[in-house]
Amino acid sequence: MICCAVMCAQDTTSAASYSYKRKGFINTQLYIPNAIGSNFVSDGMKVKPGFKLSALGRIYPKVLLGVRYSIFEAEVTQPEFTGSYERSRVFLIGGDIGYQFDLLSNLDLIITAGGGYVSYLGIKDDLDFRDSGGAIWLNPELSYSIFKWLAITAGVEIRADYLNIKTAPQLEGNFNQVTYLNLGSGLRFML
Amino acid sequence: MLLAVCILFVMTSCAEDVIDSRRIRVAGRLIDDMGFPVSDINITSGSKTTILGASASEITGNFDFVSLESNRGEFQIQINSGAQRDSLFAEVILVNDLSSPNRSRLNYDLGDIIVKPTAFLNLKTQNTSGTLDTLKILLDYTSNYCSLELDNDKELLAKRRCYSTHTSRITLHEQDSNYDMRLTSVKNEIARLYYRFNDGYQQVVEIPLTNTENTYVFEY
Repeated sequence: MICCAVMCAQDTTSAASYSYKRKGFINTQLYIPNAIGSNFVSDGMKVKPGFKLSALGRIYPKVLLGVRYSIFEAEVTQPEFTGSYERSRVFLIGGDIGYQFDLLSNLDLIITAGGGYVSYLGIKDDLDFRDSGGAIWLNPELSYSIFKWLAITAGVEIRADYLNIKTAPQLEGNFNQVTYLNLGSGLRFML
Repeated sequence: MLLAVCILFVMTSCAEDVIDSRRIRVAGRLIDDMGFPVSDINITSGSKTTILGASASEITGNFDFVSLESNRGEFQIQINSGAQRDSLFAEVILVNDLSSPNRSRLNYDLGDIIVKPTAFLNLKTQNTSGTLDTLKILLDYTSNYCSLELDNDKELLAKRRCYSTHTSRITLHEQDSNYDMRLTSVKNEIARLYYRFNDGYQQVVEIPLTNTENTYVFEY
């Protein structure tokens, strides 16, 4: 689908140019995380849908730069894999760089990549603790304009969180990296 | 106002908290005194007041789980803790009593931990002769509790207080000469009942605890 989108985007004479008159946009999305592989989140927790907010500005006709923020919660279901606590609140803040491909007059594809800071706040009764580190991601996203200022979006995100957790050598593989394949859908407000 | 601020400061600075970005591994195998695996025994870890890791031994006796760590006090691993009075196995506590800043150990691979099976002794004293003498009994038996010290760097476990001898003392006068008691010890050990009448010479009876439930009737 992405290859087809890129091929279609080469026909610049038919690309809708009105979108380049917009300075940028703000995305708000329902964020559906899904931890994959073998790690303490996929083995020991149940992740719940969260929220993502991003803002991108156009620095060149098709090149965008921006910031993003996302948050979701994960409930501990198998404490022998995670330690005994109730849940984690995971938030991320970082920067994005993206490129826009115009597919049809109302349909475009933006692929963003970025990196940032991630924090897992563990909550247990009155005690809490924090695991933190960095994250990188790749996020292709389709948007369909319903008005000049409003579009519906849907995308997937491949994200890797790298956490600075000190642990026994036998557990390092489980705690130092968590990989996600996430879905997102929401509204884009053109600026 | 200043006093309230000071009190709040002391309370928050002494408050327990979980250490950030740190996970402990706790692993081992539970066996009884004959070397057979012991399954379905709860194992917890954490501070004295807070459970920060928990699991149960599998059918092979093995356990392997992740624990958080507290910034206050010692790190404990409790096997069969809070055991009910009729639990079939002893309680074992392992303690790393180094304070948190100095406690660097991340992997507690404990190897084989012996959890001795429990034996209950029902002791009944009966004054069948109707004697007016005063009877003094001293009963020595092995406790079903074991506490071991965990070294911060090495795998060695030093004993603190493990399956030590407990003593119960009973004095029976004419008016309360029949007495029943039930105590918890460990199997395949011997309880020793020392008795004397009216401060006379002491005699001893050995009671082998070969079964889970053992009854001994002391008639005099």
